[in-house]
Amino acid sequence: MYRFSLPSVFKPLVAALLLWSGGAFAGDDWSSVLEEARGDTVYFYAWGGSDSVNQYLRWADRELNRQYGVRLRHVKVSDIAEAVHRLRNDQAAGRAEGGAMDLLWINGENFHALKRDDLLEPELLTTIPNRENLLLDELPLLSDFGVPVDGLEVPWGMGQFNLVAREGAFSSASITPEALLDFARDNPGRVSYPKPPDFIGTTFLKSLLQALTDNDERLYQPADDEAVAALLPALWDYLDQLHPRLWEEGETFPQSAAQQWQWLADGQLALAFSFNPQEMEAKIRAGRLPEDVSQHHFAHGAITNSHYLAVPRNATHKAAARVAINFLISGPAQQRKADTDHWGDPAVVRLKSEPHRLPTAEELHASWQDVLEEHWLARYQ
Amino acid sequence: MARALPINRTLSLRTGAGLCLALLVGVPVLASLLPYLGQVVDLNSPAITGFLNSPGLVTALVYSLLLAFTAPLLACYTALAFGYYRPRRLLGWLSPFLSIPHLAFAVGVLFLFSPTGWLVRALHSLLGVFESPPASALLADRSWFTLFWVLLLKEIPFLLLMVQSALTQIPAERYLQAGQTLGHSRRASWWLLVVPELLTRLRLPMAAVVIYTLSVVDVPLLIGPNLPGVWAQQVFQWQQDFSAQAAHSAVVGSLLLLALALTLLWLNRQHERVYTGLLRWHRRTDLMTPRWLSRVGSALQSVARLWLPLMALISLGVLAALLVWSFAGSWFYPDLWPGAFSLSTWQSEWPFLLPLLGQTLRLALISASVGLVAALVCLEWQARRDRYWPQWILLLGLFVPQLPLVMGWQFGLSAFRLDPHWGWVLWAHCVFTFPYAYLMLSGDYRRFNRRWLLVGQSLGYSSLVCWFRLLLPILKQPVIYAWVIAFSVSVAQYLPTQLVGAGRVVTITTEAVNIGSGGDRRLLGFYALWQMLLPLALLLLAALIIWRRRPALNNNPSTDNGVA
Repeated sequence: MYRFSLPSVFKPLVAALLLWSGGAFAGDDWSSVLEEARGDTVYFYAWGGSDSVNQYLRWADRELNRQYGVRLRHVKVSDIAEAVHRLRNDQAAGRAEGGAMDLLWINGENFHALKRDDLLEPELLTTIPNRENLLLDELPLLSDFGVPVDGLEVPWGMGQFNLVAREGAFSSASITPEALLDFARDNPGRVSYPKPPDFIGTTFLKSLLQALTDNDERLYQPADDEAVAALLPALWDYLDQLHPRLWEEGETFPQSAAQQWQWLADGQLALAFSFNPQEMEAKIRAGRLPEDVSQHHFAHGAITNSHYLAVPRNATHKAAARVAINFLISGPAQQRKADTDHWGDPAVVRLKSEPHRLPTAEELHASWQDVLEEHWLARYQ
Repeated sequence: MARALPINRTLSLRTGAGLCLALLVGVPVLASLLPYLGQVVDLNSPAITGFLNSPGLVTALVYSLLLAFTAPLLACYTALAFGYYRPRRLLGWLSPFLSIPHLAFAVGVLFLFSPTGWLVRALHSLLGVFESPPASALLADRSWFTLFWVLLLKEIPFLLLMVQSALTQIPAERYLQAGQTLGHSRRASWWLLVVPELLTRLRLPMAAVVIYTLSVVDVPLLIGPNLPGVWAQQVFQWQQDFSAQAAHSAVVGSLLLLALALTLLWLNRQHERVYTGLLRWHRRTDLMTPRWLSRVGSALQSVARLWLPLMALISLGVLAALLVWSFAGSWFYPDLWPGAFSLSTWQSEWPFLLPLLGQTLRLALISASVGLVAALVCLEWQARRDRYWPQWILLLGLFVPQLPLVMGWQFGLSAFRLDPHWGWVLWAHCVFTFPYAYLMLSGDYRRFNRRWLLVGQSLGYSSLVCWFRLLLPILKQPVIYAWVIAFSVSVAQYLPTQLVGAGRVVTITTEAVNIGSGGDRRLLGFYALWQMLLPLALLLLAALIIWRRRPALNNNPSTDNGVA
């Protein structure tokens, strides 16, 4: 599958060079960064739809304040695309500094868009001392949905797409699209998925596409018209069969994965999706989910990707943002993040106990995200 | 009468009224229009083609048109049918319903009537039906009908209040008696003689309700359909999206929203004509109402009579549901009660609620006061001149859909590189508290018998003293209620807070919507509960003030002033 191309060799080389040259720079400079950051507030624009994430960030705020005199203000957005929109507006208005956002939680198409428009602080990764801890060799952290990170963002956590079903829905942990369709046939109205362009809803479509096209290699390259015309019909055939058996006969969808979880807890739905392999366990412990549920993944593998922290080029509190990032990828912060009592999001650094990982499937190239969303909406909305 | 006053005071009142009008109506509309037009000029034909190709266009338009046409109309007739009974102390009943924010009400109604709501759970535990949640209960978690019912129920109290206020402006009792001497039943006289008069006076309140229904975003985001959503929701989502096409679509979409608004306002005007036309036709064909129609009418009228107890019951249910969810530990279908009650939501959220409450209260108290004072200044100035401005000018903020208005502000702030700031949000809130305060007050204020002021002045008191010692105590009740309603309007603002405040100014309402996207019922219940409690607490306080300290002079403005 691997084909030689100049950029594919060149880019890691540049990244490595940057990492190496930045190391010396960061060491000398870090104390002055800490000094500059003291007393500042970092406006962290991040999705606010998860209670456990919100609680975790509150803890991070307390710790940052205690250790470094930096406040982390979580500005909750329902979709981080809002922040991208705002940065574009700033750019159009020529606002090169004094921006409202200091730190972003992004990946995939949002990162792709910000990188394309040159809206992110360059060489961010190289100036963070704790980058030494990152498992860059073991995990595919330097490619965000097929797009090189190029030091513009810092890995924060990992996601693996998995399904959680009421007990007895599926007989084995690994399932196929056919098994899902059979279940929906036998239990009409009990299956649904978050409405694309919801991130997790689109990932569900991607997983189906992988399975239905036998993992066609064109999925991992920029989507061209030919590939779209060749690959998508299999998905639409499948969804045309599935939709009449969905909740509300596929005329309305959960707005988000979180809503899907709530309806799973209610028993309205028999299935929910997550990007976090430990979310089910965390939810059961918190009393948010009954105990008779089980975790599943698609037989061809769970789509695996990472999520990142980035600083806008026009951020006001860049030093404080760096301090926050450095803290968030530190061992203790990652340990707590991975703990199912708190958030349960897999770590990007080595922890004492190895977390539970599912068999992996590669993330599609970022361009497929837009294609899938657009075609899905055109077809079903 | 102005001549009796010192010139400079009249002048300063005029300046004040002019300033209020400029700052709360003129500037906001212009400040939105100019940057907005800038965006409109940027549109080109690919942008419009792209917009026309966006999926679900027609469905979303039809959803909105149907919703903003039927819900206010049905609410209007329910209010008219119920208004016939003219129950005593109606204001006391209505104000709690009025003060509940739409969002909290919507959340609570879902907790009660969704397929996993309390009602279905109660049926399960009583009758053993619905072993698993029914596919379709009274209200689906998300659907057009859910949205329709919530908005309908929530709009009736406002229209009923407006009916009450209009009733004090016309000699309704005499109309009813006249109708009866012509041989109509009392009820028929109400519909034949009084209602046409009321409809004329309901024109502006109805327009406000129609525009609200068309442009509300937070409630459909939570409970509306989403494949596609209603039109305002679509435009809001384009506005939040970052692609260039979405930005263009948001502008074209908001233009279309304005066109929808104009269509609906026109339909609203036609509705009144159709009603009187029908009456005329009915009069020409036969003087007496056919028996079957009268039967159907009386049946519907009796149903409408149930509205008050029903609404009281639902509101109490909403309060209870929010309260119980906020204290719930694990609670799964079909349990009627949580498996465990727990303080954990309250304990973990309390420290974070306090700054939110502070922010919400600060915005609401100041903007309600500004709105109220501005309304009083404008009313007083008009009363002294004894000439009234056309109401629609003062209420303009209610007749422009909120989304294009706020989008224009956002474009403007960004173009002038102004930081998202608390002050801008406050100003944005005032733009909406002012018209509501004005609408709540204007009826009673205009009916106030100004001879009292003359009497006071002839006794040697200055006009200012007379205003404070005579007018204000007599109008205390409507003034306080107007303030409370303006307060709850501010508490409930979502779009201006979210867009103008850039997510940095966070109130209970924006937090509740953001948490709503996460679906956790405990948190949603907790924040919706607080959104509901704030105005209710203020209302209780207001009721206490009114009840404790009745003015000695006169405690019932409407009977005194109605004759004047």
